[in-house]
Amino acid sequence: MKPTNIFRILTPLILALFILSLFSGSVAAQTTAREQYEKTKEQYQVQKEKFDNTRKQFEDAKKLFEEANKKFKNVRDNKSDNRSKEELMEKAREYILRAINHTEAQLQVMKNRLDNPENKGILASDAIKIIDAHTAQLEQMKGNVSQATTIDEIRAAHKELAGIVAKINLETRYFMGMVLNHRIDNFINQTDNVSAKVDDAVAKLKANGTDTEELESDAAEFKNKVKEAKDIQAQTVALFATHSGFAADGTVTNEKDARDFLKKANELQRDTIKRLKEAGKQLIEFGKEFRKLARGKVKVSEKGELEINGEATTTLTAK
Amino acid sequence: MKWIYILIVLVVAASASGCVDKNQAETTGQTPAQTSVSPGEPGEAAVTPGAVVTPVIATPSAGSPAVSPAPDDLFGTESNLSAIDTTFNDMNMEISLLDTI
Repeated sequence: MKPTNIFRILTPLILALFILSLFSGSVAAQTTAREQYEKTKEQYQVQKEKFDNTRKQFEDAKKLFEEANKKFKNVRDNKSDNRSKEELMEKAREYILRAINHTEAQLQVMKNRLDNPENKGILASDAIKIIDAHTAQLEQMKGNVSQATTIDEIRAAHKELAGIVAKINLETRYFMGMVLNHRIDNFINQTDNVSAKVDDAVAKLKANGTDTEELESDAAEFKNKVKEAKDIQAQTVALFATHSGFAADGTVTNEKDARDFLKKANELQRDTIKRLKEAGKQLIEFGKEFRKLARGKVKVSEKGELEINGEATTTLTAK
Repeated sequence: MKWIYILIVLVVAASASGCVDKNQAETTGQTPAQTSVSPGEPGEAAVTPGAVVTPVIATPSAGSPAVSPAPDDLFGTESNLSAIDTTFNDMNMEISLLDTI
């Protein structure tokens, strides 16, 4: 191929790439949010799977240790047996190492949740630093357990681990409770918007001469449930503001107080979710009734708007 | 002939720079407004302002199969409630060690 031919091919190609590169920014912007969502979801799933796997390994090791312990006690009742003693120690070592792995996996699930862009800034403290400090502590402990030569060293490590795990369990519930509050708040805030849209939908059908009695009843029940949820959520938020048993950074200061606080918070959050689910059911009922009443009249326009009787409405907008 | 050649060059260049298909994927997949940025169980959606502000009515053209709301879930709230549930479950992760060994 002559050099002139190569230039004839390359010149328009380079030009075309240059022009298209001008649009690549907007293409990238459109895909970034979705890619980010997919990436975050994938990372969470990886951590959750790891957590489930380590839990199984931990439970298995725990069972094996318990069996070895039982066997050792039976032997000891007769005569001491060095082989059983060694076996017990190895099973105990394995059980503790599996427990550490499982604890680290739990920390990673929590870290992943807190690292999520959606949850950035919801905690006053740098919880990630706390999680990383726990992980470093557990890694060090792993080394100590691996090198332990006596059952007493193993027992001491287990005792130390139990203390750390107790704190991590409480902190997990505290931090995740904050994440949950954030999600519930977002949901509740948007129900005001939904309520307005529900009212608008009813008004539009009413204007068409449709009997909207049942629709209005569903809407009222929805609002009622949301109000109940809001009231309970306000109590939860107030409770978290006191964070009894926890320091401002989320670390445990008093285990008993922390446990009591979390128990109360858990009950309230469970109650809020229950009301929100009931509100959601009412919305489903509203949707069913709305479809029934607007049968044959509902149409999604080319613009993606829902039309009732050929009239575009801002009430319900299809994607 | 020259124009066909230019057209081929443009298509090849567009494919190389990723302008083709990406928009298609965007319209057929779930949008961040519906599901937003959130980790979760498969199909889990986040609760964000966008999720409820833009109510979704189930139509053949709306949403991806993974998070398509039920036909009567006009506002797409069910997936948000499911996301709340998942977070609640994560909150109750707990490791139970033996009392002593």
